[in-house]
Amino acid sequence: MKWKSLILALSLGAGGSMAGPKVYVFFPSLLRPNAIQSALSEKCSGLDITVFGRLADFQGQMTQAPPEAVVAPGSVLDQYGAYKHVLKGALKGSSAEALVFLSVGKSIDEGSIGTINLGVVGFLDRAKLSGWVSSVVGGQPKLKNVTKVEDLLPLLTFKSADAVLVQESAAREIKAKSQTNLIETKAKGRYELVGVGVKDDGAAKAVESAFKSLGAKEKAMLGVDGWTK
Amino acid sequence: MKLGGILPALILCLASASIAEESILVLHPAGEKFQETVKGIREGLGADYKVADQEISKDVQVATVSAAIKAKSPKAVVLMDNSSIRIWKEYQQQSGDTATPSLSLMGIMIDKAVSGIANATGISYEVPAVTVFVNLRSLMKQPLKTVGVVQRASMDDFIAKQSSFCEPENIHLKTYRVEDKSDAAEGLRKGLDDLLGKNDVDALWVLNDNFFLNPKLLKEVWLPAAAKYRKPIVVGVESLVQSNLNFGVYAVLPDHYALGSQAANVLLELQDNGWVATGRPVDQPLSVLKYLNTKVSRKTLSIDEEKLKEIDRQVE
Repeated sequence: MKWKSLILALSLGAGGSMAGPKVYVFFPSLLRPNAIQSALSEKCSGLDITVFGRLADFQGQMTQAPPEAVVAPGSVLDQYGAYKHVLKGALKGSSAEALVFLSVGKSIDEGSIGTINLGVVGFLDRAKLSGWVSSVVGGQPKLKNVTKVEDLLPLLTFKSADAVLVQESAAREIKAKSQTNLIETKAKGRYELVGVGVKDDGAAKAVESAFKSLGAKEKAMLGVDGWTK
Repeated sequence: MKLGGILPALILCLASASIAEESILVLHPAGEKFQETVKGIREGLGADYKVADQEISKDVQVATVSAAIKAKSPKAVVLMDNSSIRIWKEYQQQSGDTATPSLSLMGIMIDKAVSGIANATGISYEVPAVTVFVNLRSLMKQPLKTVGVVQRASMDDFIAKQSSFCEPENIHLKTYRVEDKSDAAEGLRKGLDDLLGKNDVDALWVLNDNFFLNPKLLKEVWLPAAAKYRKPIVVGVESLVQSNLNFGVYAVLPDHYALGSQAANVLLELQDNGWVATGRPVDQPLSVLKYLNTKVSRKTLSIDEEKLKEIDRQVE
């Protein structure tokens, strides 16, 4: 290869890593944010992706350095009106996933919801989280919110909570990790899967096309198996 | 003052009272980890509380605490490290202030440290064995059923509690017990030979206890035993998973931000309970950071590669 074509090849290669539209991803899961970020960045080379594991960090950056696009659970995305929903995550054909209570040794009686200590991942502000829980479980339990999905199991192990509320898929992962007698009880409500919101129409096409082209593995990291409009 | 003058003043006064933030006072030594925990408390409590943090030195006097209480009128105090707990104990004895509840964090054996303090609760700092080994087991392809640990006699209560947490997870702690008055090196050497030599433990848990864990014993006993037996060694200090040591394969440390968030939950619970902490048990820490030495793991563990995405830091 002559040196001119070498320079051309290098510049094309560098184009892949050039900072494109800035995308923030907030999706609490068992996986570490840096693992999700590295997998997504590899597949979406034209986007500048940052993955947040903590709500406060995500909110802080949304205020200080707003991105062109956001990927977050539906209830989070709804709070940012400037971002137009361009894609909704789907799992087995639905844009929402069933929620379950996980408890040790016995199932949760729906009638007792208002009196229990319930563990939940703090993916919304405390007041909003309380409202969300109330809407999906039909009562107002005392909340014990944790910063990471993996912290739900210790809440049960140390009896700090009577039950934890999670998506069905996260419940499966927690049960796979533990040998404690964990019992699932279906909750009334459902959890809105992640969606993609875009602020700037100019970036919409690039962001939408990049997320649509994710492989099964990367989509699973975001808790979905496909996208709908 | 006429009624016309009183009413606006009263309204102003009521309005300012309703928007006044409640205050929480945090006493802590200098250090990044304490600041990270304060951040977790602050963000966990949100805008309803003003979190005032005050750095204290080892030789802090009761007068400093009294002045801080007077200035902030906190609803509760958070005490970080045993030095803060000690000075609060002295403050309480001198002032008789038992109305202000305390929440102790980031100290050694918090449950023992807060005994004798009125209106007190806490969160333990030691990462529970069940958290350590449930996380390690989920990484491993080989079974993890029995964990060896060398302990001194004065740790009996701690170990008994750890065993009770591990039991529902089908993890058995096999202990080798050394009297506190015994020679630490000899006890440790015999303990490691007994636990690792019989080949009936799946991993070894190294307690953060300076009776057994110090530079001398690390060099003379721990490292030779690690080289001889090649069992997965699990530690609670980041420096012991460093590659140049060739020792710890897995370290589990407290997540300080999340600890602050957990503390915020306890403070809100105290608020709901009329700021009474009496009788509330000391909690276990919920959140951890996980470190894996991939070089050592190749010699001692069979790892599910997909699970590496759940590790906070891989040390090569």
